[in-house]
Amino acid sequence: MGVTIVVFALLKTLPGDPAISLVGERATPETIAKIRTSIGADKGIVEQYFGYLKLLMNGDFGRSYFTNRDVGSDIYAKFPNTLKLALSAMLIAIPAGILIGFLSARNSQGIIAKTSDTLTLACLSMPVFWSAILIMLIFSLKLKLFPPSGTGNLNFLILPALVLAIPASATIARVTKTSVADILRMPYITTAKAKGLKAFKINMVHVLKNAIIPIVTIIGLDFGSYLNGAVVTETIFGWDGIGRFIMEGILKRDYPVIMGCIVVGTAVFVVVNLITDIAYHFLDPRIKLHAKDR
Amino acid sequence: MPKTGKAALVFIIAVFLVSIISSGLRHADPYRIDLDSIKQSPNFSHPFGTDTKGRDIFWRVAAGGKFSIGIALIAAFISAAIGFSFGITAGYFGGKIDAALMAFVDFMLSFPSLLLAIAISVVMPPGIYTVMIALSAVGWASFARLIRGHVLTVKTMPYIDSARAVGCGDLRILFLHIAPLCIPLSLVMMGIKLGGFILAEATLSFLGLGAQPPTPTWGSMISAHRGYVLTAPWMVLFPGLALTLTAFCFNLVGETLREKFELKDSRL
Repeated sequence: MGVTIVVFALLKTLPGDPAISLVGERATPETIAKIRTSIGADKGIVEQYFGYLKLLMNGDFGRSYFTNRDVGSDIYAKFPNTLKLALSAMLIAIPAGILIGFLSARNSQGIIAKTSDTLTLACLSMPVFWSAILIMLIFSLKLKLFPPSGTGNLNFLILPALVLAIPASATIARVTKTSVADILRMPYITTAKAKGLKAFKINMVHVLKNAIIPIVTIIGLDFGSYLNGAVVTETIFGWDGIGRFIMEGILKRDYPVIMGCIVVGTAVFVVVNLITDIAYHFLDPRIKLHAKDR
Repeated sequence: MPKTGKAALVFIIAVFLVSIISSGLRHADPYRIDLDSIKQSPNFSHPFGTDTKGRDIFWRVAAGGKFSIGIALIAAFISAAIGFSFGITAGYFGGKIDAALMAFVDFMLSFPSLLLAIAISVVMPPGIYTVMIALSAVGWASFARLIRGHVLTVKTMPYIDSARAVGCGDLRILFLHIAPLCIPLSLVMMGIKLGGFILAEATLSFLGLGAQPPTPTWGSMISAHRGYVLTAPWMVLFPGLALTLTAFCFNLVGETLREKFELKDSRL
């Protein structure tokens, strides 16, 4: 079973390659033939593509056109930074999102629900790059609480994590609300109340435990948007992660860098989805691992 | 909710109309460089202030509306068209065709969408059309999935059997009896997705992959002046506000549509 999962994951990652072949095509700039030979761009597209694939199979991402550094080891060095950012964003977004969603589900037509509905939609409508600039303006340039940009300790981490957490917590809140509202209508909640259980226990044990699956799904799916958001957030805050790396690559048309980041990004995305699928089983043993959900 | 939905729609139409009309006004030229009045804070003659080249930000924001909304609309339309063809083909023929097409769709959905859009924008020369193509390439898959699901239910209806009994061929049934029933659904879906398209377009142009300067798109205006945020915050504030408000209104409309047509899955 484990093998099938790995093969599945590989298959999902692999077809990222049409993009690779296309990128290889543009890798032939009007520069001197010597450079073209040295980066192998004088070869046919198909040959380049298979060459890249072969390198990739050996775990080699090639070298950057500009710095001539090994892309793989650069990614390896920068990836923990991005992971740190994404995890801290989740650390803010998950409790905040679940709390807001829960509260607004508990009083579905009331003022809390209406406010949070509007607020979460507004958060989702705010482009990350704009909220990033505003937050930077307020917290680091006006209030001077945190450094505006750079990579380093917690002080540097808080603002970008906050920016990433805004749309994420909004999404989680919306899903939590729907899911919890569905559970609250169930007869067994009435039974639990009739038995005189404390509200806290009902909420924690009976509601949240059953409402958790869609919430976990959205957190897993949202990981992709963390990666998306990371590109912009890291660029703005000068956070030395994969997102900024790919942006620099794009600006310089450094194809090995771009391809490497996209391949790694997609692979992470697939792995996270896989972890989400496996997490279902532990959260709800009724879901069997080998029965594919589709 | 319907009232807020309607209000949001009115706002969007207003933004779009102002944008179109302003391109016909001579004093509203978003490209006019006026070096005598650079970096002015919002005042009576320049309600949103001016940028580093003295261009009026109000008119640039106004002009940006037609790009943002227009690109999003066209990209949504292309996505809907591609997804529609994939969806009805897969749903109607079923079997191996269905399996193959849906495997492809699932593969597309498994990508982090912005990375894919970035990859496409890098490969092609930057510009408005590239953005449209990148957004459509990312957006069509969810349409395909939805339409396919709808076709699967429509296919089992008795009138399809009777059409077949009368001797209609596959193509006739597909285009005359099934496709028309899927069009309203795709339109609803377009409405739901537009907010996302607006934001994606803005992100691409913020990253410099969209319409090139001096074209006034909201994303590129923010990107170009973000270095001045401390000394001249209005240069970044107003394009972002316009963007957020427009996306918010599109999302409100989408929300209303979703509630009305009971499309519960938030990931659709």
